[in-house]
Amino acid sequence: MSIKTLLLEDESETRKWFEARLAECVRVRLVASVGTIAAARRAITSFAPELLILDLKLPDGNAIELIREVQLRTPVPEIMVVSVFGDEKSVLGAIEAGAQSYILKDANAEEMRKAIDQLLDGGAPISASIAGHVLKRFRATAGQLAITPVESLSERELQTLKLIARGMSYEEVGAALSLRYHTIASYVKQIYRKLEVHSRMQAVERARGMGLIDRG
Amino acid sequence: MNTYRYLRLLLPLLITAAVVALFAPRFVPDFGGELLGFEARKITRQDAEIPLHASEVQRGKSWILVYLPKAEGLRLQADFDLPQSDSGADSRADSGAESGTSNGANAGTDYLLRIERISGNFELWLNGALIAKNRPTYWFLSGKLSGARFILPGKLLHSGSNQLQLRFDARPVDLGVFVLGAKIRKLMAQDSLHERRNWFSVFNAAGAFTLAALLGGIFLRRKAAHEYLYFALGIFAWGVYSAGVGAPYVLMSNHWNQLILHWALAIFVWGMSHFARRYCADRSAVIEGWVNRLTLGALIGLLLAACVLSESEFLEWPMNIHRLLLLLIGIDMAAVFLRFCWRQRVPAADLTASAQITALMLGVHDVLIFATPLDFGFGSLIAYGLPVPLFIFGYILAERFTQSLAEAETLNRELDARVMQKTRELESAQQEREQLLQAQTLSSERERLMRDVHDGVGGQLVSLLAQADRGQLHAGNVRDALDASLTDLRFIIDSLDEVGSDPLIALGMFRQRVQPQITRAGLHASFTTNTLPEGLVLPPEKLLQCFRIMQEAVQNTIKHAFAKTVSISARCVPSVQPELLEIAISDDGCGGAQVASGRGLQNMAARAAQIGGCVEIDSSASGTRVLLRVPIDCGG
Repeated sequence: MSIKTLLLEDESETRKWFEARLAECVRVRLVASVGTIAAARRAITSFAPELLILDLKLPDGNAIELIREVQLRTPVPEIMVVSVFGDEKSVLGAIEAGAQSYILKDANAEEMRKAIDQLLDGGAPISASIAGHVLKRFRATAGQLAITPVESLSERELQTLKLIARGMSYEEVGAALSLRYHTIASYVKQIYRKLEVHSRMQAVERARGMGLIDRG
Repeated sequence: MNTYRYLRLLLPLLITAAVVALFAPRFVPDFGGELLGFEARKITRQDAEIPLHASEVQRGKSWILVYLPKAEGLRLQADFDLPQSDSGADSRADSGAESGTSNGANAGTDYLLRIERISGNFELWLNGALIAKNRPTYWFLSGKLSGARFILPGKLLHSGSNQLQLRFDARPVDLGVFVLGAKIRKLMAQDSLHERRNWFSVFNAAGAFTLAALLGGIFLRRKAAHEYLYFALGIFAWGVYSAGVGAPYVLMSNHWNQLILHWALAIFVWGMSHFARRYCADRSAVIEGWVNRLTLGALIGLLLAACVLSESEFLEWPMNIHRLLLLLIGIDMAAVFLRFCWRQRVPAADLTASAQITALMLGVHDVLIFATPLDFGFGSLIAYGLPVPLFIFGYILAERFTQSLAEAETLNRELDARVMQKTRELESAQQEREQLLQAQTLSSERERLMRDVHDGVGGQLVSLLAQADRGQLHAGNVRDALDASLTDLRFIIDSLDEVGSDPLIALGMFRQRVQPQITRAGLHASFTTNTLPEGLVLPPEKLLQCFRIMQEAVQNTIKHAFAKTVSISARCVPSVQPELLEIAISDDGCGGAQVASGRGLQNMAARAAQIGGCVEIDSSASGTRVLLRVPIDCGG
């Protein structure tokens, strides 16, 4: 019952490093390791991987497009973005496209394993910077979009985000809000999903504003 | 001056002349060859009842002033004989039946009596029967035959001697010429229009009241325009007169009718004069100001005096003076118009002036025949002279109105255009400012980035290179240097993040960068940054320096302190001005840190000084505490 995994990374050294790390993880089984988006597309069609580990900047384009594409597949594969230096704005873009997790390129084996576990267990990593951006994103559009309560952040999620933005770990947030670790992790994943819906609605709204789609 | 202008100036005159020539009767119409005339003569108080004797018809200078003394029951009586052969075409079919009602045989023909001027309250008796009281059967105002018309019913007339009696109350009268004729159908056909006038005057009155209300409304909104008040008053008075004269009911005595007519005319002419002055923008000092008011006061005073004096035997002279005053005002108005049109050369002005002069000439004619012994063979002509100036007056009013509308529209359009232009200018200025600001921000950010990279990663790499050159490169050193470079690079990237200027989030980011290092070194980390209030702002370059200082302190603890725990806490010190951000990094290590000896510590102090802050180091055997204070309120 290992998870079929696809690795998309153009830099061969890093790819080898990731391959080695993934080989150590018992829960995942690497079915394809590719260096271009085109190859990834082919591999996704033939292997139907359940987990994608993607670098964003690739020789034949930005993988964000690929993330959007796979959102249409059933079941939607889990997506983990590989980030250099945690340049969180691009991570945020990937999350808005549908990614649920990210990992730093210089992560050690332990961090890698933890991140994969977290993702497969229904959680998601989040940094203070990403939390700050998400907060800002939701505040900026407050009242502008016709968001149903389901799509806007709940009070609990908002508190969680605020604490995380101050650099607190899941454990500390859990202690502060008396929530279990897994609850926090699932909150974060939920927040990512809402952010994706949110950005999609924003895109629709923008298109309406430009007259590209009819109102109502 | 071109031909068209002459034409314009002459046009109203020519039109009016044509109308007068065509419609104003110059001759005494055929009364059937059986005219009976009475000449009124001056009577005195002593002969209170004086019979008026029939005399020959006078076709020429046929009037005389009659001054009646103030006395009750004053009567003028005329005895006249009707011809015997009175069964002509006009005799009525039932004349036989009618003749039985009176003594003597009558032909049964109605006769028409004209009295040229009648004023005051009166009664007309024919053979002992009252046939008219205070008002004639109808008024006929045009031509030489203008005046009051009375129908003498045939059934009251005898063949032969008849008695006509005119009884007045205490009013002095100028009756002018009496004319009595038999062929009244012919006359009545001629007068048919004026019969209808009875009802027209009611409508006239209604229209005049409406117009007066309208003009009064204009005056109330534009108090500076006095002429509208005069128009309103004059037209109101005219309405009262119309409602009183000719209407098929009795509203007031004839005497009051006369006075009101004069009043109406006076005020209206005064208003016209004002309007002319305003329209012509005439500011002649002689007639403006107190002279103006004095003249109006004199006019009103005279009218009031006329009302009072009319109880006496001296009605005519104030009335005539009043008429002459109207004449003077009219002449003044005409002069103003003439001068104006000569200067303006505007068609409307030409027409107005010309029409006014025409009307004035007719008015002069009327005043002369009423107030002096002159006679030109016409009756009152003013009625023919009024339509043209009134029409032109209306035309000018409409013109002014549409002109004002057009002006307002033009102004609106210009204003719109100006507002739009200003908006465009503002927008482009705003755009330029934004671009400038963007360029400035970009350039200062670029400078900062270069400086930051040079300070941090650059220094590390240069030192690494030097070590390599000296052949002192150890794997551990390289790893440490690279690690430090990477950390610094991350701080730089974090400081470029837009949430990086919020100290709360930036500290959170710092924590996430540093915590793994501390944990890897086997130390316990404790962060207390949650006590900072929300909404603080600190420029990212200052935060970056803070983080470098903090990173240095943490590295010192890891490398030299042999500590178990490192605690990082931040708080805001609001009690001092400017507010301070206070960050403390303390450990439970061996202490012994000295600013003088360590380059790292000097570096920390220098960085703190750069951003206006200071570093305090307190190192003892129980641990080291680095206290960084940065003013929040400076720059930013």
